[in-house]
Amino acid sequence: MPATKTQSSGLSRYADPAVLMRIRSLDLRVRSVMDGFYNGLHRSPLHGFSVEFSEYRQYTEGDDPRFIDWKIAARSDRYFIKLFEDETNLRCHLVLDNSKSMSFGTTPREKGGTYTKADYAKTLCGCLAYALIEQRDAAGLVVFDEEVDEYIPARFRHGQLRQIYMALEKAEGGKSTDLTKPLERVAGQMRKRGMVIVISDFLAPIDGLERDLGYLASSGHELVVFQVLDPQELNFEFDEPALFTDLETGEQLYIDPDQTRDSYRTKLEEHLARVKKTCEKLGAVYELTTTDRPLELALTEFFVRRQHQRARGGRVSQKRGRNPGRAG
Amino acid sequence: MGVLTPFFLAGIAAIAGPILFHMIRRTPKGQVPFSTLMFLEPSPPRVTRRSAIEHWLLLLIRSTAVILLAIAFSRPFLRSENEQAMVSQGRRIGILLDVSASMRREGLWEAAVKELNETLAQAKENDSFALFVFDKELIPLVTFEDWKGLDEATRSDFLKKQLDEIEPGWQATDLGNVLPEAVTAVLDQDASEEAAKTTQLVVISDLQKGSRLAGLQAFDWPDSVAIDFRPLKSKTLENAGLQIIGSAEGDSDLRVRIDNSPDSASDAFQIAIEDFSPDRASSPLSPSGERVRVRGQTSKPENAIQLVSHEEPSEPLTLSAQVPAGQNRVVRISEDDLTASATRLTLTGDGETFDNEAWFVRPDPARVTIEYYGEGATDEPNELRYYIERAFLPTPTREIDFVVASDGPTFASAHAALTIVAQPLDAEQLKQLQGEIRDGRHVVVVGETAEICGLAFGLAERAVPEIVEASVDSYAMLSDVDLDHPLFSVFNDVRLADFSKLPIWKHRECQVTESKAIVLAKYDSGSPAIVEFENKKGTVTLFTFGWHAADSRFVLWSKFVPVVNSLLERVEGTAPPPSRLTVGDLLPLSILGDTKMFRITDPSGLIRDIDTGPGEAARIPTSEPGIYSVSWTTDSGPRKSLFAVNLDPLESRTSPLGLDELAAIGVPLANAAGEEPSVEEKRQLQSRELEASQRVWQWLILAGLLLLLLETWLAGRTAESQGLVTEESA
Repeated sequence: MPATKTQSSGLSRYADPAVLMRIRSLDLRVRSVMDGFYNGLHRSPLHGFSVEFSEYRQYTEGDDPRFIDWKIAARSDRYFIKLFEDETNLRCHLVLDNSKSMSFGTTPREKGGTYTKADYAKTLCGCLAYALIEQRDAAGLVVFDEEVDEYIPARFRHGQLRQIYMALEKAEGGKSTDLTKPLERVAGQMRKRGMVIVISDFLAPIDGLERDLGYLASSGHELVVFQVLDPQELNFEFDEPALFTDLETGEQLYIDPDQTRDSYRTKLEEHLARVKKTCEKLGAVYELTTTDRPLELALTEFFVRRQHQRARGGRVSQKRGRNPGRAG
Repeated sequence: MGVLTPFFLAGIAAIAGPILFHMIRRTPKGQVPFSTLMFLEPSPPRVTRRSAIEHWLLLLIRSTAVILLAIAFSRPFLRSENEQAMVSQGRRIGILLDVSASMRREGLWEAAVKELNETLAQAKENDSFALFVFDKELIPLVTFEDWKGLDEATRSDFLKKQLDEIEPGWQATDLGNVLPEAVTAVLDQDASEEAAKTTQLVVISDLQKGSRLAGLQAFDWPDSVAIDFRPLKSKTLENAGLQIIGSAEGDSDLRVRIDNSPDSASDAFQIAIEDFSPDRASSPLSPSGERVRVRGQTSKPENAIQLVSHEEPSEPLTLSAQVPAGQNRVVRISEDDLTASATRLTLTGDGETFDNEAWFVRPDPARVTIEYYGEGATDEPNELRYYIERAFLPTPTREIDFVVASDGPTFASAHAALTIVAQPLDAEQLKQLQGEIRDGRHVVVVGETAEICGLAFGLAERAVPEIVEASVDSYAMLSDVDLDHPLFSVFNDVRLADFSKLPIWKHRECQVTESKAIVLAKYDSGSPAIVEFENKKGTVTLFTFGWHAADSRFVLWSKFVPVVNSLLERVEGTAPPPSRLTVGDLLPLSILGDTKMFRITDPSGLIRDIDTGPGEAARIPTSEPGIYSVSWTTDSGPRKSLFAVNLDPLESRTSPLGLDELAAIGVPLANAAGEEPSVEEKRQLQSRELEASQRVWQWLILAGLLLLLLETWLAGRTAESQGLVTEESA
């Protein structure tokens, strides 16, 4: 199995994030990731986003004869009409969290320094945009913190990818996190059904998350949630007691990690579980990734998971309407 | 020691701070930025306790600095030695005694002497005194040095003896001049700072309103001086003053002002007018009220004056006037009632008598003859005579007789005549004039021609030099004018000394080499324009240009009238006397001419013979109000001049001056409430002074700061060495 082959070849064939993050240009970084990703993909059953789905129905008068599948007609001597969903009408909005908390990072770069969750999330965002544009889907970008900092409507056109890269590179650390406004904005813009990929650390109260995501889900959009965390956030392996400063609020607390670690981990796990549960409830694809994990792996895992979900979601959707399986 | 001192000393307890901080140490804290604190709970700080002190030196320095600062804020001082020094030093008291005219009021002088004696009686053993008397000026009677030099037993007797010799004079009070002078004098007498701190100034005075305080406002009072005023109260506050204002222009009536005090109850006053000329038949005394009869209302009803005359001609006239309290009124006395050469006016109706007399001398106009040798009609504007007749105007002190020689040669008295020569003289006239000049006549020669110019040399009995008509291109101007000469001294001011507005078209040139000739002005070509020759007592002044329009614009020049009147003022006795003299002014003897020997008769009848040396001016101050008679002898016989000297009108303003008015203009008043400070207050005052002089707190704070600097350096060094050890161990 190609997938197995990919996995058995080990992590070494993926770009190590510590090395990857040394590349300053987002474009190059994305290409480095996507090259490796596609190299593994060509023998993989995984498809891109808008994998063609066709349906046939018997030709009736009044249908456009251009869409008659002549091969089937030749084989079966019946006229079937090929029903195409618009191939490029997968309109995907990438919603990137640019709040202050995303500027936390302890993962070391090669040859000194560390990189942040924001660096990782931007690269991830760039990779997804690249994949979308490559297969001629429309990609858009929303960068937000408390407000919407940057909005690029989902389009497929020449220069769209470059525009997205520029917006990503330009985005500096903002303030605190508020998902409501960007998601409202996206919902307002997306008339047709499409896909919304939210990339955030979700390290904020998530009381309104279900409501915010639920609005999009109920509009028929496919939801994908990437939660990006730093390994230190997951494990809380600080040694020395210190004054901890909240990056978003500036609040300070004297913390002795030895005393606090257990309760922290417990609370974080509860939080993550809630996020995951919310996503599952809304039928969203949820992907938790840490910044020390190769991006290709994160992407591959995401596609696999999505495919599974689509299979399930497709069945569910078929009950609802005419073209339920299409991610649109 | 203030009230707050114990609280400041309690600050020493703050040394517990450094010790506690030293013993208790919080774990070192770094800062770690973290994405969110929402899953974190604050940990209680870990505190470690140490039972042993690690840095003894640092702790000691910190504690000492805290103790020093606490002590410094409580402002300590050392009492023992200085206290004794202050006790042993006595006070220095300068006493100022008012001897101005207003102290002549009833009972005031006795009260002043009593107050002085009381001040002396309150003196302590080590006190020293200086005594001054003052009116317009400050006169020291006893200085601190004198006092030190006296035997203790004889000191009070000496002072009393000095007091017996003085009594109030007639001069005005000038506190504005006297007080600053006294402060300077008292401080100068012993320049040491400590002595100045214990110096007092006691002013014993009636402090009347007319004390002239203007000078006090500008004075920069030294901090150490406070003035203890001892105001004396007179028995009555009612007083009215009499002041002679003089005559208005165009009106020969005499005006006098009656000024009634605000506290006065009476408003009806009388002025008695008496002949007080020295040569009067009998000495008139105060008017006798019974023999006065009302003559009738005068022509000036607005003044509400009744002019009355006496049944006997020798009795004085009396005027009545209504003056409400706090107001003043000008009363006119008719010229006809002032026939005597000197007059005494006496005011009656008020409570005080010292200022009720005023003296007046009727101006005696001098008769001056101007002799003119020249041609021309009196109404012809192109002729010199037209201008000369009009240039010399009569004044109240001078009457002019204009005599034209062609009308008949009438030589007036040599001393009261000015001769102007503008035409050639015959030999007889020349000879006669030469004689007059030698006797003191002043002659002006207007050199319209070379011949007339030569006449000036002849009159001065000098050899006549060559005199030629000058060739003038356009016009000549005066230059090198001798502004110090009496002829031009009125223009001796930058704003007035402009002689460029006098164009001279024609003039004569001559050489003057004689030493006794003074060139008063030259032409711009350098030849003399105005020359003065002396010939014994007289002078000849030569103008080498004509005054008439053909030669120059002299008669139309703005300076023409002042110049020719200066010529006239040189004629003896024609200078105007000063309008008003008050007690203390010098007698204006200089206006009487060059006379050097006088006999002066004071109002009290004292006769003094004054003989001033050549070149010296007689300085005869007046000491009392009244008529001063000055007589001297001239060649033409004995002459006499009278001067009226009056009391300063401000002395009549006897309403008492409030001490608050003095305080308002910045005079530092001593012990305004007049209460002696209590023993406790004195002790506190002394403590404050000791503390202020020693200033121990400044040194304590300085030491504290130095210790803190040392602590900073030491702590830095310790931390550094510890840091190195940690790094090495890491």
